[in-house]
Amino acid sequence: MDELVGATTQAITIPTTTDEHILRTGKGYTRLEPVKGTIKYIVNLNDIDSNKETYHVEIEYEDDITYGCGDAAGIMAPDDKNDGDKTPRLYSIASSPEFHEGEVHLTVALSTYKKDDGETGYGIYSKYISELKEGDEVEFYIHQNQIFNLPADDTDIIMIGPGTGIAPFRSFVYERSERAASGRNWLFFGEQHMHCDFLYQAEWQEHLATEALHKIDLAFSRDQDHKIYVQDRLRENADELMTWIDGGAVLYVCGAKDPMSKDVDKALTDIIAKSKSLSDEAAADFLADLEENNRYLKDVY
Amino acid sequence: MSKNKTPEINTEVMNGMNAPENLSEVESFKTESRGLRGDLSEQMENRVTGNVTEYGKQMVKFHGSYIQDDRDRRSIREEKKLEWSYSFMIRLRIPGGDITSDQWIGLQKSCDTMATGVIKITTRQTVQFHGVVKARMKPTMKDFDDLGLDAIAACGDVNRNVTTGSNPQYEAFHAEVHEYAAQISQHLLPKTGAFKEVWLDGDKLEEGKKTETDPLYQDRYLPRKFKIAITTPPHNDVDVFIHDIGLIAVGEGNILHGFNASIGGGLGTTHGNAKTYPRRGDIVGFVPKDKVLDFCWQVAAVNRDYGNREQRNQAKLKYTIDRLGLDFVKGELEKRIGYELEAPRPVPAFTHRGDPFGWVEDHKGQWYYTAFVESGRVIDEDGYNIKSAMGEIAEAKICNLRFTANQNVMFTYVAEENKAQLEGILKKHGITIEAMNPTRREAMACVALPTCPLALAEGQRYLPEFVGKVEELQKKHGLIERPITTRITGCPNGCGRSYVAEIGLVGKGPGKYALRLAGDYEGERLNKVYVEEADETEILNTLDDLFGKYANDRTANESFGDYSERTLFS
Repeated sequence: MDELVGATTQAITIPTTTDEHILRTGKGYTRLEPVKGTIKYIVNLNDIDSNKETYHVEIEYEDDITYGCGDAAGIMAPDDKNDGDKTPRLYSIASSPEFHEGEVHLTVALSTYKKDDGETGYGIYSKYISELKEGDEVEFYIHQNQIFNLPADDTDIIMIGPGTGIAPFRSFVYERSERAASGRNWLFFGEQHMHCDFLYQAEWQEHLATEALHKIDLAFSRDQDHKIYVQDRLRENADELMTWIDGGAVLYVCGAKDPMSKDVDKALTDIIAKSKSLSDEAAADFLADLEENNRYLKDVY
Repeated sequence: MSKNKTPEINTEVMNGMNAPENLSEVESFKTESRGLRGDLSEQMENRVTGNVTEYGKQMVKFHGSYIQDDRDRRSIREEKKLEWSYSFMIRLRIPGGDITSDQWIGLQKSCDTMATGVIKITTRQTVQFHGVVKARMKPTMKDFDDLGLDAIAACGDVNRNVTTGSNPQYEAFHAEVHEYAAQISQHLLPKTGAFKEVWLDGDKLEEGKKTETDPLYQDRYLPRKFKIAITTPPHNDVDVFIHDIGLIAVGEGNILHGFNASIGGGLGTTHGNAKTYPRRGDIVGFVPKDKVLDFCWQVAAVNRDYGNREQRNQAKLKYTIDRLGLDFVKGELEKRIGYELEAPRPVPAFTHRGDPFGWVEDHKGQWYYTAFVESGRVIDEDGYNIKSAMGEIAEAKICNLRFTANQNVMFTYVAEENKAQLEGILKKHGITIEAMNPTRREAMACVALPTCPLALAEGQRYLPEFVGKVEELQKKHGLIERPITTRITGCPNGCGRSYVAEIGLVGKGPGKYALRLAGDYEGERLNKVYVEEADETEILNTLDDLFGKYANDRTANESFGDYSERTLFS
């Protein structure tokens, strides 16, 4: 049985599509040599009644730099905004290099925490970004990701990206749409409330209408008495998921490492075990093989 | 004749109308809906959009709901890459407007959690919630069910909420009249189990299985909405002549005998379509009280069979009557009810439509207090804290509540010894009518912008300001002591009942209204268009001029409506 499993996963090799992901160096590609961009548009994607503030940020740039789907942008905060913390923060790029040429889009949640005195504190960098205005200058560089990339155009992809984990998948779907890629795209997204937290809702509707997005499953945890998360939607779709995976689909997870990506790991292991009548251990091996072969890719933080 | 058996339809008079190939789209929506189920359950589970399909829009109406979007927030939602802010309005079915204190407490709690928190009292004596997003629809319907309430047939091509004059002070038989609201509502309720199935996780109707038999609605329901109102003269708060059926109570002392029945009233029109018009109902005769349930059922059935199902704006009973003639419709009705209608019996004349603010006493010595609710919106605003007052009075458990057809609230069945407590609570929350001019107390508007999808102009948001300006003109001409019925409705459907007002505004576009004049104060006569389309300045200038003439030329005790009729349209 184990052999067979191994054979299934190894039989399909994942070619990288373009030469986008050769490692670039120099200006615009390291924290030591950032470039300057201008804020073209910034908006809080959440609406009234939301507990969250998630900013969609569009940065225009003129330098001759490029990025691939799955890359991140390193954001530098100026000294008067960084509170002495000069470590740039990496955000997954939410734009498509093809569709949004000359722009880098980010999806940034304003992070909050309770201070000892009970007041609300904010993450230094997300606070800085949330307060940017159109026309403001911002320093950034491209942080390349060698692994979390799109597969060949005819390969199906399954994207699991609750919350700001949605960012690279917005890039993926725009890019695949622009390239008229024949592979199917299936998105799992989750947030608290549909009405006010459905990040990029209108774009996903458009992608569904134009069949750039083939399937979407949504988990809005607080829209009913019992919490529903992306991993629950995975379980509900177990049979079809396995069909896609067995057909060579690549799985992507982006978002919180803990607990989300661990819960997704667990759900996928269970689905595989049940579907293939494997022990938990063998199912975990199967998933590990997928990961090994770049068919289960994570960008978690 | 058995009341459930449909007599043969006279196809000759139908003249080829309602041939299957000509039916409007909504007709097939209804017949193919499997008893109003359609795919509503699936649509409610769909989380990609808060909207529903065209089909879903028609279907939810029968379940008491309209899909709406906050038109003020369209552009900000687009900036946020969100679809428009869709939500549902849910209207309850509350015959006669009567609920208990406990039900009110439960409703307010539900509205605070599930909706905007502002309950709206409607002109049909019920209440509605606004801003219920899709995910909260089922929990909200569940809340209603837990309270012994429902939203069944509050909208859609069915018999709507039955209204009944709320004022108990004139006749001892009033209480008996009031009970008929619930009885008629129940008698004309759709029989489908769809409401339980879609909202309350009731058993699913199996695929291919026949739906519940419904002798009245069959599988096609009515061609259009159907409205019934009951009133006890001399009070005409329900505007009895503007309904498909208007029942005017006839009785003596403690005994209710029956009702003089008007049929074929209705207000809705379409701008620019001369084939649509408001119509005052015709009195067709006296109906003994033990036959009134069947009478209502059969009137609805006549329009089910003879109403125009090709053009929805010609589908109401009023057009059926004008197309086929009152004699034909009355004859058809008598065939079905199985007796000839007796001539209408004498009743006292109607004298007014406004509510009796403050205390009134019924013949058993029980007390009723009516409090003003501007445009029916239960909200604490500017020190007039009606929401808090209603909540605290309900908590005191000293009365029930009744919504009036003028969108106010009446605290009912108060014992003499509890009056002071109720007054104290009202006073604490700033509820008084003393400072209010008579015109404002009787003014009315529909919801309109920003949520009503049909609205062409402002309704309830504009009413307070407009009435203030009318009051200024009344003061200028020494007319402030006497109420002038002033109503605004945001579109020609006329939910604000502007067609039976002395000053009626019907929305035509942003800031533009048709100005209608010469309705009477008592609600017996429809008004007429005086200015086709005017902005506020033109409306106020027109009224300024007319008020001046009215102040000088009126006859003794002549109302502004009667003066307008005599001098402008005779």
